[in-house]
Amino acid sequence: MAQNLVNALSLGSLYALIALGIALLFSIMGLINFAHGELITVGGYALLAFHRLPFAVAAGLVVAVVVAAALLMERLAFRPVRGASGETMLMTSFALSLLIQGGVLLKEGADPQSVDVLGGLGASIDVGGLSVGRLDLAIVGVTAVLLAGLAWFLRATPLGVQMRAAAEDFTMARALGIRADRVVATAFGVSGAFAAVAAVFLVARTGTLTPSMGLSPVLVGFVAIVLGGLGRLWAAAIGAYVLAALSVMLQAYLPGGLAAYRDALVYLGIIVILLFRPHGIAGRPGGVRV
Amino acid sequence: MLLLVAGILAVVTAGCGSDEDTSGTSSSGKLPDGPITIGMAIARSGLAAPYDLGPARGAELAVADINDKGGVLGHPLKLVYGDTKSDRALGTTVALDLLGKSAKVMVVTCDFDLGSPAAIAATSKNVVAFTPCAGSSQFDVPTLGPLAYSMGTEAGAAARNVAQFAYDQGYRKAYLWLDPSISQTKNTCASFEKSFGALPDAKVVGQDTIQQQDTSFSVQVAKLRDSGADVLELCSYNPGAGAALRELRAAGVDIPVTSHLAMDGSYWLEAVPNLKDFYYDAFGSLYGNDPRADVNTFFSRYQAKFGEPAVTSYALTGYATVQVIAKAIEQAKTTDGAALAKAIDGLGSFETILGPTGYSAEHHIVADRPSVIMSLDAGKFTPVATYVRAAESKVG
Repeated sequence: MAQNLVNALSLGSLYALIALGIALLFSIMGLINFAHGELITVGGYALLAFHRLPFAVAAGLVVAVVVAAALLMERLAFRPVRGASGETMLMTSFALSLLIQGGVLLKEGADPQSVDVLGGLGASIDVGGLSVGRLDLAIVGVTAVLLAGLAWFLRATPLGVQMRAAAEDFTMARALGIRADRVVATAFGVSGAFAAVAAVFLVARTGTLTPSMGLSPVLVGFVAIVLGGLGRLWAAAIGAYVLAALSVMLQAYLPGGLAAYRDALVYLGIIVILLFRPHGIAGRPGGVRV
Repeated sequence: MLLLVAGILAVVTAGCGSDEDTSGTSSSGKLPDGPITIGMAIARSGLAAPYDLGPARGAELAVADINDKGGVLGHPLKLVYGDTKSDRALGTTVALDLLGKSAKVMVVTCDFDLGSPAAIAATSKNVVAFTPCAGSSQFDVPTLGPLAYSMGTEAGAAARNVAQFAYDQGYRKAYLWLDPSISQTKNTCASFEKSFGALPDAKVVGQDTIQQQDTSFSVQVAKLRDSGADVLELCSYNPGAGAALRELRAAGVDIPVTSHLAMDGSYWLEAVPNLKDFYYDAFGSLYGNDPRADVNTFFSRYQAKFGEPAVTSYALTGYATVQVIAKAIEQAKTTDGAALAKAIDGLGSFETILGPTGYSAEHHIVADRPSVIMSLDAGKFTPVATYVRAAESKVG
């Protein structure tokens, strides 16, 4: 059981990184950014390109590339449709997602590629009878630091406070003189940084890359946000950990024949939770209902 | 469900196209004045593209060889490509398009799930369809009818060979990791479980599911570690299989792993550096150390012609497919589906680059082909044994 909790904590941290990147944009501008998965893909392939450099340099470059991609995304694709309806922005993000995926496919080809990053962190250490991967520890630790950093940024810096104000009421915040362009661009930048870190851990964990590698994480991220409660950042993180725990426990305890239906059962569980808490586990009543 | 829809579509479109048939295009058996066209309804992009590329190039080498010797009954062979984009629904469309371009035989994607829609589209127009390497037992007469063939080794037969190899290595407690997303992996694990479990003192001590989209396999690794197994049979494919192996080895679990054809090739090895004690069955070794000289020659010619080494030994199957098609047309003197199928079924044990290959009216997938067991040790691939019908044999 304890072993499974450790596994759930590690997987939940990875999910939380992805979910927060998406939740940040949703809470500020109501954008459901499907192209977030492609930021992870771009990060993965950037890591493949830089993996022979010292790890710290490679990781820094990956963050720089993905943040730049996220800022470009904002400037070129989302700023022109900022005032538009949610559906228009959703369609824009779909189109962008396909466009980037097509670009990666053209440049890198369809074949899966493999890379060994953070191989040294792969080994496990024994903690009181539990086998804990050093990579798991790194994921949990870095996620905790990033979550704390984001909380500090949102509470203690002027830009962070402006972002929170924009998240509460975007129109009112603008009326009060908050510069929307700067706030939104910052949100995209932070979202990109989270995607970059998620990409590094994802590739370190699986060692493999495909042009569609971002799809599955982004879906998991959305589910985590809905499960946690739309519109609240920390609710997205809670959703991510609950989703990971459900997934790990079912994988661990489902009998052989049923294990293939793990994901179906996970989603069934989520539907049940949402029936009882339509605003998500930690969402506020009066917020967005699912 | 998708297959059913594709099947219905194929039947409907076959009905719509009956006028065309009588006017003598696709299903007419008469040999054309010019080249005999083989339609290649395969994936040139998407998930299955890496699996289809090698066999297609192998087919090109065979076509070049046959045409150098004057073709088939004086007709050169010609390959015409269509891209199914690894999409089941497109398989039907692409196959019908190729039939419209006078394809007389259809080569389809190397997988039952992805290749069968194109195969159904062709066979419903009385055109023989061949998959170079689908291993699912469903690619056979009961499911796809009398005109569809697979040059692949039936996954169950190959898994029996691997199970016997594992047993002969002294392993007695096997654990299974199954990716249930395609029939080939399901066939492989089911057959391994049955064969290994039937051997004296041997037992399958547990099994688990692994999925392509999983980002963590730590639960599966923990359960495997607790099982006391001395060998792991991995029924999955890349990229998921490589990711699972990476996590297994990273967690310090170094038990031997046996697997199947889908793990052939070195493109995924970066994910699991220094992987040792890994075994799988292949059509042959592509590293110049196969016991058969013609196989080694094939791979050096492949590299010379295409400017890069073959990625997997699947390339051999494309060559063998064209060998069988050419021989059968030569004997049948027609490309009419029924007559050509009769000729293929009557070839007996026909010598191809993959070794003796034979079909019967009842079975259109190969079950008694030699499985070359490859060993992987820190990046080096070595053929260590050859098994046929779950018994070690000498080949070469």
